Amino acid sequence: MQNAKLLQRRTLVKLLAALPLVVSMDTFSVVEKNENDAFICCVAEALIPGALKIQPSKLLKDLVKVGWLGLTENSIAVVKHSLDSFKGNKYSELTLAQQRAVLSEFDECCYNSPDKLESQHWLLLKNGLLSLYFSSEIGASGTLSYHPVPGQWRPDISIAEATPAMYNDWLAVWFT
Amino acid sequence: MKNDYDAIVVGSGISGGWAAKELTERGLTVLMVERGPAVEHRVDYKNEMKSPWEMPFKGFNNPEMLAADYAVQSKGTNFDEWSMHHFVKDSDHPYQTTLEKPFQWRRGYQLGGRSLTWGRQCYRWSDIDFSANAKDGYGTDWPVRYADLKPWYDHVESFIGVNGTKEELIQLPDGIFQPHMPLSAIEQLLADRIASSYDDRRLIPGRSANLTLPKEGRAPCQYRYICHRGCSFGAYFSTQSSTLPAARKTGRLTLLTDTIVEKVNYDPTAKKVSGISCINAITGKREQFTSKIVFLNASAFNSVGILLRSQNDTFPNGLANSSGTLGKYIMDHATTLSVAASIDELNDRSYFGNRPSNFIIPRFRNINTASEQFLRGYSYQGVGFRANWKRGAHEAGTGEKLKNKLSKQGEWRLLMVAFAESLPVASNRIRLADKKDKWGLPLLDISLKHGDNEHKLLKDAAQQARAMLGLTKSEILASFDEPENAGSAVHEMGGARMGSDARTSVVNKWNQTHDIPNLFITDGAAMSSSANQNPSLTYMAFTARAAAYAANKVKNGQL
Repeated sequence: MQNAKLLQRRTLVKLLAALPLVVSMDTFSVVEKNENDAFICCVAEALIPGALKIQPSKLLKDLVKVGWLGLTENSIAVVKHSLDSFKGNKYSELTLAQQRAVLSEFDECCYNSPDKLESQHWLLLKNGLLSLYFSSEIGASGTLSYHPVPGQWRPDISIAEATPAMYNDWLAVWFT
Repeated sequence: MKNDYDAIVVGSGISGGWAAKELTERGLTVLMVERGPAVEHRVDYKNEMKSPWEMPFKGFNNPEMLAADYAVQSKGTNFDEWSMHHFVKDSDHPYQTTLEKPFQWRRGYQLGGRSLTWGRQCYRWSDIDFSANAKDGYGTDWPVRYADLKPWYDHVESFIGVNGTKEELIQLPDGIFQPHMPLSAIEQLLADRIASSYDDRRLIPGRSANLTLPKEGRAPCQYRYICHRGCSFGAYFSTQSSTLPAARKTGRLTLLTDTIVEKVNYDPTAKKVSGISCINAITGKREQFTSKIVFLNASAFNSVGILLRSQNDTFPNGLANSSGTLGKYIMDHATTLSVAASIDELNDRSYFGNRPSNFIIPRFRNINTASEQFLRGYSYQGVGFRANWKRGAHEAGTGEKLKNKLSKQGEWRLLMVAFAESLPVASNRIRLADKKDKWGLPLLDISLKHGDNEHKLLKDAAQQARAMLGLTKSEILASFDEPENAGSAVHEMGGARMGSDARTSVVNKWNQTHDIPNLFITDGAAMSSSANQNPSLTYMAFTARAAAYAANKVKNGQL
């Protein structure tokens, strides 16, 4: 019975991953029984449309346990609390459009007040989610251009030829 | 396995590989001893081809593990989740360092040593460098000059493959180069502005041991810039890609990995070294090997450590240490990020590929004129690149707009890192600590503090870097004039310095110890000054030269 439930859940997640980007947040609450997982999915999708496909909550779960990129469960809790109280509505229960608007405003506030606790935790979570997405196969190979073997050095080309950005421009990864 | 050889080479890194190659090619049977595990070319580069999503931590590593096991190594260049197994676990290989700013000892204990992870920058030293000690009185005069090393630089560059441009600079002699890796658009812009504004300096392409043309079973660079993972194309110089195959080809090389050299054995009757005593790093079993000559190439500080713990009745303060200078006059370039800037020009230009090299601005201080503020000089190494997706975390933005923005290249950035010469002073030293490692060998206690001259050099470097960037439409993002902790340049040198006087130096002009004729030290330990150039090419040239000398002596029955 337990296995059957797990299987159902896994199948649902896979189906969801295959869906187009426009996914109602109500669906997340069905799939992600854990409130925090649902929250991560909502924030990730609002931050980077399409991020849901990489299953961010699943990936992040183990990574935060070791403080990956400085990110901890506490950071997520602080951001969740902040976003839940930011406009007086629970973030996960907003529509996707509302979530995007709220996150955009919250993000702007955080950069305007970088010393605030919630700002510091948001910057960690934002960096973590961006890193998760752009280091995923979907983000690196799809959104960016991942070239395992560029094979050539062209030192001076038109910017038009240089898009999308190569994921594996390691200098830029290290020093940006 | 036999126990007697013509030569024993301790260490398999950049200089050890060269010693093994040259000695075997000159007819000697050689035992090369490496303290770490075997890493075979191609087959053991286990993460080379992995994409970020295949890595457990997506390329950003596990911070808990780094703090516990790689506290020093993880702060260094070329350490990442893909390459971490090419660096020692600090927890397994402790050392002592007592300063406020602890020495950063970056190491790679495996076959090939740090040749797998080095920065590959190759610069000849000039007579300005070899005569510096004599000129200002710091350190002891080198018993060699550029003319002594020039044929060996030629020999080494011809074999390893170095790309670069001929510039006819007296402070940075030209070499035998493969076609260079050109400057990026933004770097060329800065080069042009500097050329039109300054008479005493120029920005030129870096010279690196990355092939731009195929060479003896090695393919040219594929512009991945992941050299430190190991390169199956063999496109950069490492022991694995270059010297080890050459040594193996002779049929005269025996390789012993996972074997720690406890000490070099000395025969007081013959007044020569007789071989080495070893500990199997895995089983703890002890074993001895004998040879006619011993080459120490265990890396500068480890070679000194072996000599210090090889003390005996004849040499109570360390083997070949009648001068009392063993362990003293250690150096590392004083380095810091002189400037990082964003540049609002050439916004319609970019680049493709990942060049595994950089630009340099060779030393321009104290060349034709003398500074009253400081001795010697510094050079810069830098890169120009466009910011990428990582910038998304540094600025406000969300949703489709952010995603679209990050899918395109960002603004131009330019970094310039200064490498300042480190003066040789006796108070910078290595000694044996009371504490021991898990094999029962005393730890090294390393004390290296950058002095007033190094601070002045880096202060000037920061000012000059900002001034040069001021030639562009730029915004300075960061500029530092204090040196990073010593060791950060990973150019540690000295401790068994070269000199013509046996009373004040450890090795002579042939890298042969003054005290013991069949003992040679040809890694960074033998350096008497640091110059400001990356030193590995010079280690290789000294090693090849010493090996030719030693092999000739062995064949003539003189050693």
